[in-house]
Amino acid sequence: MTQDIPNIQKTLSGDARAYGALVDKYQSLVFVLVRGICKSTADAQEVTQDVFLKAYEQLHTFKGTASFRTWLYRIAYNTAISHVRKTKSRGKAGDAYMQEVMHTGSPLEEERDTEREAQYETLRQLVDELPPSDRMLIELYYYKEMKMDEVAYICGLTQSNAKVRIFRIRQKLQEAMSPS
Amino acid sequence: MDTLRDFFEDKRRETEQEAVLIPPMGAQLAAMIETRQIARRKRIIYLWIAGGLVFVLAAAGAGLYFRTYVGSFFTRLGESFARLGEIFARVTENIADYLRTTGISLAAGLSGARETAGSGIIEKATAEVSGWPVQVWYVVFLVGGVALLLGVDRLVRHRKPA
Repeated sequence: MTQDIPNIQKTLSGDARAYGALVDKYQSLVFVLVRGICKSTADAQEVTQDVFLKAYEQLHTFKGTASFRTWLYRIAYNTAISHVRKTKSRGKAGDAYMQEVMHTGSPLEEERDTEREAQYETLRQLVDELPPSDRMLIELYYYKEMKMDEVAYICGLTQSNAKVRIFRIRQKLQEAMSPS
Repeated sequence: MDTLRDFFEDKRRETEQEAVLIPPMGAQLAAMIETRQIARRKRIIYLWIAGGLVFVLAAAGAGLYFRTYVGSFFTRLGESFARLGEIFARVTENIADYLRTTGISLAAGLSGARETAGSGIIEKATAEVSGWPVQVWYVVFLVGGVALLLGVDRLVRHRKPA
């Protein structure tokens, strides 16, 4: 975080190249976050670019109370959610992506893990059916191994509210996965 | 819930692999931002110029259109200012008289009732220090007072926390 401060200050004084360095540093992290709910790589790339443009416009509001990464994630979260709401892009393409994602293991592994594959398939469908904000919440919780206060900040929730929502989502997924 | 964790971790790994393939967009974004900044600066300059021109044209147009009223308006405005000036002069004269008499009585009390009616106490005091006219001293005191206030303000603003 502290190593970002010089670049942030340079950016605020009008140096766009310093911002370019920040973009290069965080673009993968932001992409991974937004890719979770965007239907395609191209979509996620577009959203990632929007995130950085928004972040540039709002950089003067960054007070340093949270880390730059967490602050950026919050913008990414809001941008991705509004993008999904606008385009209603989750659907078959997302499924295709998930299938592509889940079928990259070696054939031997695939044979061995047929049971797990079945579970993954169920999970994929369940996660796809979640509202974008819930999906992002659970992904942040598992994906980034973040602290709960960071997850709550990014999603604009109180810590207790985030905990409750994550608990409910997990419970829902668990119930759906357990054999009836 | 290990399956859930594994599921999301697998997903993350795959997305990270995908992210590696994306070319860095820092330089591209920086160029885009610079272009936008230049365009915005140009727009602001054009708006100022256009606004100024519109204002000048509107003022000239209004002046021409209301030219019959403009003359009488300025006459009335001048009269109002003259009346205000008279009132102000009357009030300040009264205040000056009051200050003068107070100064005289104070000086009389302090130095054993010397004759100071011909000149004010400040004139007398400053004349004894130097040959400068009293107006110079007023300006010196005024500048000194302002400097003092600014100095105090700076000290208060820049004081270090204990």
